[in-house]
Amino acid sequence: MREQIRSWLESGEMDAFLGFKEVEGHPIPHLFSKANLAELEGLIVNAPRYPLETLVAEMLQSQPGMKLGVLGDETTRRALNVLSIWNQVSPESVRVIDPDQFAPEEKGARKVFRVSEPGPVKLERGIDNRLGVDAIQALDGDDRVRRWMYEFQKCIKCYGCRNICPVCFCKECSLEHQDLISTGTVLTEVPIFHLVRAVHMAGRCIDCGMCEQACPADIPLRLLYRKVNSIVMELFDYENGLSSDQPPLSVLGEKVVLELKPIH
Amino acid sequence: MEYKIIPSVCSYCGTGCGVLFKVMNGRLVGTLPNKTHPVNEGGLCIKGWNLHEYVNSFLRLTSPLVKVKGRFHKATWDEAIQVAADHFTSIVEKYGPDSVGVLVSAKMTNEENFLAQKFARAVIGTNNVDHCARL
Amino acid sequence: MKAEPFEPKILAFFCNWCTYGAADLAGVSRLQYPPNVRPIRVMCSATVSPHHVLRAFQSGADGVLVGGCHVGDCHYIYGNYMTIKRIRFLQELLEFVGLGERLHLEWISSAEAQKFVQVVTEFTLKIKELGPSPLTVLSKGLPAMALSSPPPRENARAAVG
Repeated sequence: MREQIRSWLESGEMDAFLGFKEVEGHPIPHLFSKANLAELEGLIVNAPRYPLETLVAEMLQSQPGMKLGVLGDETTRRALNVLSIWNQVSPESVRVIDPDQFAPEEKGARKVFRVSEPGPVKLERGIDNRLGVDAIQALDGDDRVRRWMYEFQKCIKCYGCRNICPVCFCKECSLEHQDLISTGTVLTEVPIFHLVRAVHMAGRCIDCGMCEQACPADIPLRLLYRKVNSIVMELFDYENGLSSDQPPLSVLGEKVVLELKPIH
Repeated sequence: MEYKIIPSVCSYCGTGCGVLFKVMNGRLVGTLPNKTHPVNEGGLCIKGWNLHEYVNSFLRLTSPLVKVKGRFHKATWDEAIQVAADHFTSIVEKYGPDSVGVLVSAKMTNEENFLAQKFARAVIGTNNVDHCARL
Repeated sequence: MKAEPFEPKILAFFCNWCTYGAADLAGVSRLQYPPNVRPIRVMCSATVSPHHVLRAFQSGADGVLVGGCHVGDCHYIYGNYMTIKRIRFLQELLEFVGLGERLHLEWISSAEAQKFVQVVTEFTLKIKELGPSPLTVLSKGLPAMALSSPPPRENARAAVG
């Protein structure tokens, strides 16, 4: 894989390659280019997930027409697809290089998403971030409210979930809108902060799990957005990052296919 | 195009979270948490997430200011330190050493913190020393 | 003191061209319906963003009713195509966090005063059955721990060790 990237960089087929390099003992994202080919020896493939897609979008916006390679996998492809639907990157200028395709023997070596393990008190009360959507739906309505409000009120409003999100790019964010989310208060406004974000994830979230990993309060955000994705799938038959159309909540559509929900 | 990611440590509180700075064409454009850092393991608070903002902020002080007749004026470090020293001396002379307190930062090294308490006790002559990570 | 019966606060977004007209007609026709609905006139039901609905619940609404024109009758031709997508999505999302059924969308044309009365009455009855919004109850003291039946404190302490 390193030889292949080297030859692409040398021939100019690729202007730069975004991968990982060890610096001070940490695998951190690094831009390899023709000027520093020797560094390719230090390319790391099994690094924790970083929002490389955001870096790609930033680079392409500062220098359009640049040809970039990025170390990634299926999730990276989907993120870039979402970004290209929203006109943030041009798909022809990014090539995703999946190390699994080049080095199958290293497959699975990459560090996967880690969910924090609950302690005994939390387990006793049914708080477990490893639970799936079904486990939450099995609870009755009141317990669901209590569970989610408990999770949401832990929020320290660091905006980490938004900042790390590879498909969040808006210059003006609803979460910073004075009239929607008041500033200068912690607790955050429960539950509006997280639900507004969840609404905005409809048709966008590619289930990379970085929001939950970045959350200092261990809120099971991935679970919430998974439900958002499944609603989008059920109602609109739209799969984020795989469908090439505009997401359902940003276009009117040709006709109304949904039915009203009856009162009873 | 030059794009670098530079590991660093958050400069705000005593926790010392690992951060990565995004530097595009020599300009600091963003902050990311360091996911392998043992302290924060990929999390940051809102201050850490916005570390890059104050570096390029137009509000940032780039030289010391000295207040003369109610207005701040740019000064050199020597002037500023002299003014501070003169004022401290006069305060200590007038109200006694316990009218001065020394607050130090958790982001300083142990040696600097030692020097600060030494300065408070030996030079000013007070035990009013505190530290933001004392908690 | 006798406990007051629960009177829900229902926020209603009515589109200017249809449902608001129906509300007007219901009033002019002297039809009776519960006074729990606080209507807000909007130019089109599609201007009701999920943020508004969420803000309503945040501010203590027990239910939110959105009224728009029938599909095909929208004054802005396609406006309510968006309304139904948004509201249906939000209904499912609220269901997941346990606030389901407190949001309702109905198409009511300006001639359908009877339907307006019926919808308002039924929705008010339903919210009365559901009781006060759990958010208003919880906001008096946010749960320190989730789920209804926490174990006795001694056990919890012991578990921490």
